[in-house]
Amino acid sequence: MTSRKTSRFCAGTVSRRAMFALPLLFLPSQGRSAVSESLILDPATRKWVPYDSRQAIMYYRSHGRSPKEFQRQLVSFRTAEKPGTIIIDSNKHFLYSVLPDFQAVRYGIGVGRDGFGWAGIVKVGRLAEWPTWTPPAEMVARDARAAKWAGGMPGGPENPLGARAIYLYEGGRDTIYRIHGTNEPWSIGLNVSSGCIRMTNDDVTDLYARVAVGAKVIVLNQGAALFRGV
Amino acid sequence: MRMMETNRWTRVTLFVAAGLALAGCAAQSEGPKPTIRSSLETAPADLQLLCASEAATRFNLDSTRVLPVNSAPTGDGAFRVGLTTPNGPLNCDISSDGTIAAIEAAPPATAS
Repeated sequence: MTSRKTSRFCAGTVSRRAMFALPLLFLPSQGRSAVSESLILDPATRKWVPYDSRQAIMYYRSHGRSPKEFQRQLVSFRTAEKPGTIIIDSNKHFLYSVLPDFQAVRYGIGVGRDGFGWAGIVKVGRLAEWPTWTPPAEMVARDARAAKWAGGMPGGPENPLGARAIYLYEGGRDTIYRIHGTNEPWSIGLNVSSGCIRMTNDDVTDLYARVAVGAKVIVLNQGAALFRGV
Repeated sequence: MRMMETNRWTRVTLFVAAGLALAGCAAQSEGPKPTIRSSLETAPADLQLLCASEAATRFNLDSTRVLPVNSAPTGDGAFRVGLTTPNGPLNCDISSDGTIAAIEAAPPATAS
């Protein structure tokens, strides 16, 4: 069930043209609107300000973790979905792992940046521990550090895919998207990825232990493109 | 002298007790305040999915093709959730306690 496999797209940069050329095409969604972002309450001014990369790094440096809302926690969750289902609320930067008795484990996540978010219903197709990461060709071309790993970066703490990867499939085909760990734990709560869902290594390891191949994954993302299958 | 000392301690004790009582009331009524929120106010994920599940049941739809795609508050803690389905878009009105008031076809979009 588990394996050390390569992921080509996550944590890299994929052009919109390349994204749309992929086998799973997108359709525009109804009610398209601005991408949501996290806001943090500034304790000095008591005003909500954008929780951007600068804020996130500062917060992480001073607290050693992301804000409490993004910490793993047990929550009540009224749903008809089966235990083991994964539900991703991209707008709020939360991932829920459904438990019995109307409960869920909630984790903080990082999601796709503007233009790279998506919504749909997919399945867990494969699982891997300490996956290898291979940067996309265009990243290799422009970034000498990425070029070093053109043949694949072995799994480890410096690997952008982190400790675990959960590969998302639709109709039996790899979507190119994964739920994975990260070497940038401060980035939880941000719109930063090329469409993958990133979690802290501790959290993705916890989720990995709860999930099985074939589990349903529902991705909610207001204002994002939809998979054709939905 | 001793009487004055006792009265002062009584006043201090009463003041502290009143303060603690007020703090307790405030903590109970407000709860922990959030430090993070989203710039877009959407319905909680479980309410959105309750709408999708109920729509699939009521209209006999393939539940893997019914997905919430937008939502917004309508007042009093209620939300309107927009659903995409194989038979066209639906709107679902749901309260914060999960009671579904209505599910109906969404009116066609009009260009401005």
